[in-house]
Amino acid sequence: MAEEALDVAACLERVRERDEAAARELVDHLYPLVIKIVRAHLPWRMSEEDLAQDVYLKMFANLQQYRGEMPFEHWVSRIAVTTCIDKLRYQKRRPELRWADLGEKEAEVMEATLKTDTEGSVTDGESAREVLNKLLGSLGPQDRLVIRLLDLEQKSVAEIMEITGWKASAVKVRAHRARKKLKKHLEDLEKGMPNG
Amino acid sequence: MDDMDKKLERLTAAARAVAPQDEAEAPLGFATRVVAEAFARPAQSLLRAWETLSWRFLAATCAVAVLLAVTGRPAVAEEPHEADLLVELTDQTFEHAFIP
Repeated sequence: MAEEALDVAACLERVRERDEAAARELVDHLYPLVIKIVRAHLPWRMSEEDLAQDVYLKMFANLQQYRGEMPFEHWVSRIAVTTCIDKLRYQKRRPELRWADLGEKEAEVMEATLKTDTEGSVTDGESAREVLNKLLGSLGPQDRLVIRLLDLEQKSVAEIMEITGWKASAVKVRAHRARKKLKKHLEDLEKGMPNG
Repeated sequence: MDDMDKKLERLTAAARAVAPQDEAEAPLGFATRVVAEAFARPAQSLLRAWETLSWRFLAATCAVAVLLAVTGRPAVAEEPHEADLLVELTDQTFEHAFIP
């Protein structure tokens, strides 16, 4: 792929000399990485394109501070994550999810999740993702982030440390607390389940 | 692992099975728009550099002030030492002795 062949170090040099073509190449090269993070942590009522643009603007504004201690992609990931968390801070948490808030398919998924004991009984992945997104919406931005990275994207603690800049202990403690809160929400949802 | 852990894991595993669609390419004109916006902000970066410099200058000034306060060296000179008086006296004596 042409994007993978991009010499990032050389491209950065050109960008620092205000070469617009190089800057466009850099934006295109980083787009899959940035948009993946933005989509995973997008606040409601905000367009993913606007948020991605904010990430890039921050990246260009702070480019002089990048000294190459870590791969450039990791540095950009960190910017993307902190930008998303900043935006999410301004957004109020969703109220606790109730059974009535679930769509038909989502309710089916939840019933399968909460009632069946057999493994792999939840077959509708799309609806499962929707329900999980709704459940995550009731958590704070950092709790949401750690659950997404650890449980959904299955990143290692070391990878999360690189992306977020948190210490290993902070990642583990946050993950533990976030899971506890999530389980509590799930428990409350179960109590409200019809015929539950 | 308690019962609720298993339920949560089941839901997460199902959600994980569906990988979100990731576009490999930016929308048409996106890079141009972003770069134009980023490169149209030189004044802001200059302002930021000035702000940084000002904060650093303020910090340095505060550090010097604290240092002076800690070491107890007043900005106004103390009473002259004996040695200084002696030098002054010698100079005056010298002037009186040789200048008529």
